[in-house]
Amino acid sequence: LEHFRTAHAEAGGVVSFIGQVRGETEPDPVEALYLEAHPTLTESGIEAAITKTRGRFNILGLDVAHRTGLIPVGETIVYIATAARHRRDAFLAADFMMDYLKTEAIFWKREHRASGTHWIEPRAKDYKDAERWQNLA
Amino acid sequence: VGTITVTFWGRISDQFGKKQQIDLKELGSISDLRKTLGGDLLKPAFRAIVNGEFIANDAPITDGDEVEFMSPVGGG
Repeated sequence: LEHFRTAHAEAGGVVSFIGQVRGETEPDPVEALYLEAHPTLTESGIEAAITKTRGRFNILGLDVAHRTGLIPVGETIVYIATAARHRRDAFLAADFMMDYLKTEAIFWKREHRASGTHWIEPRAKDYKDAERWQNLA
Repeated sequence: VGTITVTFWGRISDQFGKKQQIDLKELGSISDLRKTLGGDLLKPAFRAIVNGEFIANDAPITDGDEVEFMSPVGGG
């Protein structure tokens, strides 16, 4: 983040977001999250979303890193940083990019709990969050 | 008539396994393949890819195609 920040000295604001594996405890503790990506389409999809985000918001920079494989509770899944001349653009672009990653980015998630493993897919709330942007064109 | 490879991503790999080689008596379309395999593949939320491209249900299947079916996606 420090490197990203100093690389955008002309920015008035830098926003960063880290998504991590939530440590739900009772009654069936989450131990880790397994994330699988598609060998070609995950990356090209994220690159297209970065282009879309840059086109939609007045930002100077956008960094995205997303992990795959087995990620233990408390560890980082995703990191986003945006830089803009004015803070609002940086906040909005980060939020928009996260909504893409939650509902459209090509990943499959499997939760490892004490009782076994379960696939998890976006919740209705995630799709609703992503839909907001259609009304804010 | 033809042999295709089908890869299943996410939740549907529990139903069909990760990868199958399927000999088809008739090639037909993606929609026909969905009906042959059944289960969750009858739902449009499980998108189809042929030879690396997202494809419509009426797209024809040809011998040697690499078909992929995706469960609903989401990261973060």
